[in-house]
Amino acid sequence: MKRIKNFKLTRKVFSYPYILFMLLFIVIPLVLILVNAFLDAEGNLTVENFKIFFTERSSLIVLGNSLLVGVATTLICLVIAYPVAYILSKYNSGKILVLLFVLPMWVNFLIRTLATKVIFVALDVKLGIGTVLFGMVYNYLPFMILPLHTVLSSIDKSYIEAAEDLGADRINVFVKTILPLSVSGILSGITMVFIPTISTFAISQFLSNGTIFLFGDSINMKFEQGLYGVGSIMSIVMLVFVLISNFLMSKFNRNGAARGTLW
Amino acid sequence: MKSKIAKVILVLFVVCLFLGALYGCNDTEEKRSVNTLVIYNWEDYMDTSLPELFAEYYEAVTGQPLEIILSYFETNETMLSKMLKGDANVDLICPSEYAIERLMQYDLIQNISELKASILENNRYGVSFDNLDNIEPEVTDKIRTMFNEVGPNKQNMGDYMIPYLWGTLGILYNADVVTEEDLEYGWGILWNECGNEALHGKILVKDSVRDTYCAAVLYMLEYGLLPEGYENYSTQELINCTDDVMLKAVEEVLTRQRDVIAGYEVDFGRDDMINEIVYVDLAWSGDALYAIEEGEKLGVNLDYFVPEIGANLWFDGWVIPKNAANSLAALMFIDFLCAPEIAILNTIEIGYTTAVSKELLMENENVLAVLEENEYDPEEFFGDEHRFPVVSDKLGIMHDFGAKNDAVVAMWERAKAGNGVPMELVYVVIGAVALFLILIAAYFIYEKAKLKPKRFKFMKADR
Repeated sequence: MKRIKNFKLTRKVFSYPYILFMLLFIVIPLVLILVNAFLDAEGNLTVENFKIFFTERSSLIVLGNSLLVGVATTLICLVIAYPVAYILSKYNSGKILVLLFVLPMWVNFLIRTLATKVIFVALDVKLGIGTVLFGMVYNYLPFMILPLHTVLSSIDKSYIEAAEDLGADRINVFVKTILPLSVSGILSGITMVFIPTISTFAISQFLSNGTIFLFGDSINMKFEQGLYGVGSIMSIVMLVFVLISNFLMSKFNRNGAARGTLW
Repeated sequence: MKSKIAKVILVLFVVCLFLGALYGCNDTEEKRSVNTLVIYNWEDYMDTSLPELFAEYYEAVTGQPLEIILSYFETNETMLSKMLKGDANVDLICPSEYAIERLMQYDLIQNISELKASILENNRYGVSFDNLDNIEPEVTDKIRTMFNEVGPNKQNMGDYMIPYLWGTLGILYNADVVTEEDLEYGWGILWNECGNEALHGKILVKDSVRDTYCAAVLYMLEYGLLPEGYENYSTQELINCTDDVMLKAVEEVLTRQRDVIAGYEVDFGRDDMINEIVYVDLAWSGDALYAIEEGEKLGVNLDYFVPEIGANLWFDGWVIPKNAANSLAALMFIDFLCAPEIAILNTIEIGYTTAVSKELLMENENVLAVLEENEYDPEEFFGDEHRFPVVSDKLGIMHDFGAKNDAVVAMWERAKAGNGVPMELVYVVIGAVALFLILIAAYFIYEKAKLKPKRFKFMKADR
C-alpha cells in the first residue's frame, strides 16, 4: 500500500511509454544485430564475419561507391536547395511554395521512384548512375530545403539592416551575415540527406535495373541469401558511419555557432 | 528509492504484459483449428480460382468446411530461411528442386509416400490419392535418379515431393529485332556476341545467381572460354561445378556482360519484353510462354528458344513440412492439383507446364474440352517443345550448391558490384566541389577588385 502511495504522477511518468517503445524497437533490435554479427550459420561464436567483410574487395568498393553517391547527392541537393530556400525566405508567400516542394513527399517514395523509372524509360534515357543520382536528389531535396528555409526565414532582419548600415554591400551582407547565420540549417540539411542516401537500396535498384549496386543493396542481398552474420556486420558498419557523420556535424555546428557570434 | 523500485517493477510488468500478448498471438496461430490449410507458394504460381474449388471438394469429401490461407515467398532463399528458423507454420510449400534438397538435409519435410500409406491405412473419409500417379514418368525418373541420396538419411527425393510445374531456362527474344542468324550464337546473345547494334543495352538477365551462373557456364562452353581441364564436362557436370577456378572464370564473364546489358530483373522482365523496352531476356519457359501470348494480343512478336548446346531443366514440387497441422488436407490438395482437368486449367492460366503426364492429358476428354474453350489447338498445344520440353542429356539439373553457396554468392556480388567506381560519379563530385571553389574564389576576386578602385578614388581625391 505504501508503495502505491509513493507513486506520483510526475512529468517523468509520461516518458515511460517512449522509453518502453525505444527499448522494444530500437535497443533490442540493435542488440540482436550485434549478437548476430558474432554468430556463424550454425550459431557458434566467431569473428569470421568481420574477416569476410573486411577482406572482400568488392564490399569495400560497394561501400566506397555508396559514400560517393551520398556525397554527390548531398552536394547537388545543397547547390539546388540553398538558392531556393534563400529566395523563398524573402517572400511571405514562400511558405506556400515550400509546401509545394514538400507535397510530393506525401506520395510514397516507392511509387514516385517507379513512376520516375517509367518516365525515364519513355524518354529512352539509359538507366544508370545518372538516373540513380536524379532519383536520390529528387527524393531527398525536401529534406534539404526544409531546414534551410526554416533557418533562413527566422534570421532577424535587423542583423541584415545593421550590416547594410555599416557599409556592407549585398554580397558582403550575404557572405558575412546570412551565410554564417544559416550554418546550422546547412548542417542539419546535410545530415538529413547524407545519412539516408548511404543506406538506400530501392532507389538504386529500380532506377538502374540493379546495375548500380550500393551498400544498402548489398545488405539486402546478404539477408536474402541467409548470410545474417555478414549482413549484421555491414549494418554495424553503416551505423558507425551514421554515428561518425552525426558526431562531425554536431562538432561543426558548435564551432560554427561560436564563429558566427564572433563575426 | 522505494518509489524508484516501484516504477521499475511497473515498467517490467508492462513489458511482460506486452510480450505475453505477443506470445498469445503466436499461440492462437499454432492452435488453429484442424480445418485450415496454409499454402506457401510463389506469387502468380497458381490459378486463383483453384483454392475455392478445392474448398468445395474438401467439404464434399470430409463434410467439414475448409479455410485456405495463401502465403507467398519471392525467392527460395526467403522461404528457406523462414523454414530453418521455424517461423513458418504452413501445411504445404512449393519450392524448387534444390531448395527441397536443402529442406531434406535439415530433415524438415515429411516423407509423402509414408504419409500417404498411413492416411490410407486409417481412411476415415474414404479418400483416394490416385491422381498422384498421374505425374509424367520422365519427370519422376529424372528426379528419382538425380536426387537419389539426399540428406543425412540418404533418402530419395521422389518420396518427399510431388512435382508440380517444370520447364527450362532459355532466352526470350523479340523476333523483330533478333534475326535467325543471331540465334545461332546461342547463349552468346546475352553477351551480344552477334554484334547486333539494336541489342546493345537492351538485354535483361535474371537477378538470381543460379540462373545467371548456368547461362554463364554454358556460354563459356559454347565459346571455348572454359578454364583448362573442364572442356569435356557434360552439361549436367558443368552447371553444378563450383570449383574456385570455375568461379573465377564465371566472374570474369559476368563482369564483362555488364557492358552490354540493361540490368538485372526477377519480376519485370516479361513486362519489359511485352512493352518492347528490352529485346532479350533470360527467362524461364513458363514466363516466356505467358509473355509470348500476351505479346501476341498487343502485336509484339516474341519468341523463346533453348540454345542447342544445353540448358537447365528445373522442377518445382509440393512438399509437406514436418510441423504441418493439416497433412490430410495438404495431401488432398496435391492430389486435387494432379487431376488432369485441374492441371490443364492451371497450366493455361499461369503459362507454366504441369508435371502431369502429357499422354494422360491428351487422352482426357475434359482436358480437350478445356483447351477448346480457351481456343487452343490441342495438337499445337501438346506439340510445343517450349511447353513440354524433351528431356535429353543436353538439359542439366542444378543441385544445391551446398557448402559452396557462400562462395558463389560472394562471386555474384563481386560481378554485380563491378570492378570499380563509376567515373561519372567521380566527375559529379569533382564538379560540385569545383563549383564551390569557384564561388569562393569569385568572392575573393570581387573583394580585391572592389578595394582597388576605392584606393584609386581616394588618391585622386587627395590630389
